[in-house]
Amino acid sequence: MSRKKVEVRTAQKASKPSNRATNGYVHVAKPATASQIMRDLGISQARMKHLLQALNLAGAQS
Amino acid sequence: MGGASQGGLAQRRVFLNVPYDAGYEQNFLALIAALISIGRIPRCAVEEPVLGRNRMARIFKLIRSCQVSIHDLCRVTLPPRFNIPFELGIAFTLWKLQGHKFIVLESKRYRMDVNLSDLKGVDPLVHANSPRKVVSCVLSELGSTGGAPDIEQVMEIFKHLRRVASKLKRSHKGSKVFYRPIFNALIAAATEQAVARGLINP
Repeated sequence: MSRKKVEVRTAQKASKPSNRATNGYVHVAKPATASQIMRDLGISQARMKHLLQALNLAGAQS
Repeated sequence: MGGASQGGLAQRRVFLNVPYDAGYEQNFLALIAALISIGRIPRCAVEEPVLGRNRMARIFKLIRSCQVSIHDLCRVTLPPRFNIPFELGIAFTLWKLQGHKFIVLESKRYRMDVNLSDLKGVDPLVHANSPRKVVSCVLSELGSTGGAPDIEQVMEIFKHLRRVASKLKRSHKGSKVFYRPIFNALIAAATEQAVARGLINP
């Protein structure tokens, strides 16, 4: 029984994509969402809207 | 925010330790475009006030809160700039103590072997001062093995940021992009573009 378990675990491990980048230092993380990015930087949704509106007014947004 | 979600975000934060000069602005925009495209959160000392006694302590705290840091040694020339190697030293220590990851960038091949010979064994990624190459370095090191975005999509975001940056600099009366209000607006613009291109979720 224990051998079966080990085989299952090995198979699961093998099917996972490698999370090690080429130089061996960096791991791939699950991407953050837009709201997580803004929240982490302390920018509220209202503030983001305001920033984008200001860019629109300045004609910077396509 | 709970501890678990903070830990999750730490994995996605990338501290940018790069020169804050006009000649580096394009590469800085390329770093922002590439990181946002792959759902990483760029963090840098620009967020911290220049004045104040504890700036270094705050920068240390910021580096420690990031899972990965990027250090560009391209300005290790005359006149000498010590901030970047100093903060690379902090990242190296964090790597030894708590598994922090760091990436070293250079503009010239083999120069680091001379300037920072103690770090032999760590291969810098050479960008030759080209924003496209900077994007390529970030995607190759931090992009997912299966689903990294196409470099052309990231370059489109970079070009958009270039337009946005020039407008913002005019609005802020000639400030460089290494200025907190401009940095925040650039992040907002890059995030909006990445969502619109389906690279990250809203």
